[in-house]
Amino acid sequence: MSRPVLGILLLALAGPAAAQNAAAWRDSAYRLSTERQRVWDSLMQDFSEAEEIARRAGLVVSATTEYRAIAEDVLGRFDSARRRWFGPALPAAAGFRITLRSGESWSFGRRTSGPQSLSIAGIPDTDETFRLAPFVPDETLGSAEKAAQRLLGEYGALMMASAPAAIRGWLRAGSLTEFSVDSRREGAMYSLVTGVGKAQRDCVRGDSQSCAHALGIRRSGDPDAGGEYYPLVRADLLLAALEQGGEWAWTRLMAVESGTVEQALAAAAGMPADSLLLRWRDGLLALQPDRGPLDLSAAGLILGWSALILAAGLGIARWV
Amino acid sequence: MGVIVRWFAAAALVLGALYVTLFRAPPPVPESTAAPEFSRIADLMSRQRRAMILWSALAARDSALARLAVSAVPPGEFRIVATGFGEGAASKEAEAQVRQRWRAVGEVDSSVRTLVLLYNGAEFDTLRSQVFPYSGALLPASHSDGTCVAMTSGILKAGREIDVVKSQLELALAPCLLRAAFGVPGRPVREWLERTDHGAARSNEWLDRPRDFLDGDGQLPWEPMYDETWGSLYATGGSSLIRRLSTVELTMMLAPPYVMGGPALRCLAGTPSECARTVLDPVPRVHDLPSDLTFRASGRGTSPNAILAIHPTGYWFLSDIIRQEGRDRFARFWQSDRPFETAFREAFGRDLGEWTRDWGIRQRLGSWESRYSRKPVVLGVNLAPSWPLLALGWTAAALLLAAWTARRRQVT
Repeated sequence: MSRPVLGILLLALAGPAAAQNAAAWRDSAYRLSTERQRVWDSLMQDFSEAEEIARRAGLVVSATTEYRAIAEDVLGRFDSARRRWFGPALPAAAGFRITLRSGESWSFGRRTSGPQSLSIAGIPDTDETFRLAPFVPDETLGSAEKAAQRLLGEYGALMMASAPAAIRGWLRAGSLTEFSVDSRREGAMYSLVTGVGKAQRDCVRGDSQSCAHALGIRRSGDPDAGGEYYPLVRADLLLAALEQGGEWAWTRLMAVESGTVEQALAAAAGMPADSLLLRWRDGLLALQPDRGPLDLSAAGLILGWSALILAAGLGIARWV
Repeated sequence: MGVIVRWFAAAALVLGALYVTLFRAPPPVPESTAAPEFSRIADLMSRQRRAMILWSALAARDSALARLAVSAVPPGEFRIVATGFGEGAASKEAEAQVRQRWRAVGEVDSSVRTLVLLYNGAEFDTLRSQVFPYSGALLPASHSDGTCVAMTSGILKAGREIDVVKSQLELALAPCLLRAAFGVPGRPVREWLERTDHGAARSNEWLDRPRDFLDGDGQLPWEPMYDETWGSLYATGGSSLIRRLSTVELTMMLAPPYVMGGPALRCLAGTPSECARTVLDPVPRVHDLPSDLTFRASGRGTSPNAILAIHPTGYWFLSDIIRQEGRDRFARFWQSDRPFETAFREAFGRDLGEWTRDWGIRQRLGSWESRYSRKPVVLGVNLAPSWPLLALGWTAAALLLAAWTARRRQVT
């Protein structure tokens, strides 16, 4: 067959390229989406192997094989910490469920073990409830303390989602309880004592009005008042208010639906906002370290080793 | 001498004990038995994204061509149309953005017709593909009069207001604004733009940024590849000692920036012909889009031979030429019918390779990457002849000193 004839034949047989057809790609996109969802659903069924391990105060903990040993401890830690700030309140009347999933690391393609899970549910845990199922590194579920902290972080996010709009807008953070108590308190203390704005310095000196400005609760009329603290510091204040207010603090906070942030904080703490601010400030200042980073034993060790090396180098002792 | 050996042995023992105590390795992690479904999901997601981008691009193109068939855009002006939103929908934000850019262009080429098409992205959003639907320009071959259609998606909000993503609209506008300012490009530039998928012509910063502004948001001047070697080293590789000594970080800081590919490295090391190659060479099209659409999600970044391949220049390359050389000279280059490199030399008085090398060095020095790595790129053996001599000299001096000390201590 001659080349021109072959060319004409090929041209005649060639239809429109599939890539040029929008409808074909739309169908493909939907088909792939459906298939992806199907595989995802089948994967999620793996977590149905989780068994209920324990119940406590309206909470249920379930876990797959690998995490059954720490499940009860996790529940205890989670419940204690939750009650400290939120009392018996739930994110919604329908309950909640937070499932931590591990066994698959998405970073750098590294995989460790098969899917495992540990979940905490708040009864009644109906189908309409809040459900979170984040993937976490295996290390997170390596100890009851870490697992409880992560669950608490997610729980704080759920609680904040149900908080009054004024509080949510003011806090500017997704979760109240993202960090451990020590990390948060230390971070807040550091921010408080190192803030360079005028209001921030005055707050350290004990001026509650300046604290209110630096925390975004009240606006100062002073144009030179300076900036505000990070959201972490605000979260620390809110948690301090909830701790001060006791078991029903969160309920009182929720009741201030259309009030200001100051009113909500005062209601939660059960005291005027200025008193709360000064107590909170005193608490943070008390956390300041009272000694330097180098203690006597470390200095002695350094000097000892230096002296030994120097002695050896100079050949002072006969045995070296 | 024996005493010194014993002393060193004792010190090594103590240091070894300290290492074992302080830096002992964590217990080994059990081998993988992960569900293969995860890989399947990742693969399906990737294919779904591609399908969604192609679908949105082709659907937008069909809408634009249909629109152009029934109503022509007057030359030297722009029109904004919204499609798929129903009656009365408009985007004040997009209009303000286009107007501001149009004003910045200044005197508009009277032969160019510009249409800005906002299409409804709601249906594409329902698939949760986690990427934006298509944003780019249509340069229809059937409209050889310089028609350019900037297309981007929007979502209908309250009050019939269409919400568009500013950066996506900028991306779509870029080819059209170049044509509005400088007219239809000459054949060599036009072919280069098509060949490289308009990859270097996606920044509009030339419109209002000063000459000394460093564009690119601190990115490397040549598109970097994704290299999982370092990530894997961080996650799994090496002993605890290697990690604690920051060996990975040190290596990264000392190694040449391989992520930009071999030709870019040779360019930075002083070979102008390699620089010109990085500008002129075609970039494989990531998606099978019609050639009249501009789009490039990424170039060589993930291909297996990325370390050897030519990586395309940053998306702001053309914009930088305009800012550095001025609009008048750029217009001469843009409209020239001479071969690309000749036109470049005639317009700017410099070779393309040299210009690109200077640009690359300046951009790299301003990048985030260069803050943590060696500043000048030096390839091959880079130890100056004086260094081995110096090292040998000091070693000999130390040995002589030790021998002399030992000799003095000998008891006869």
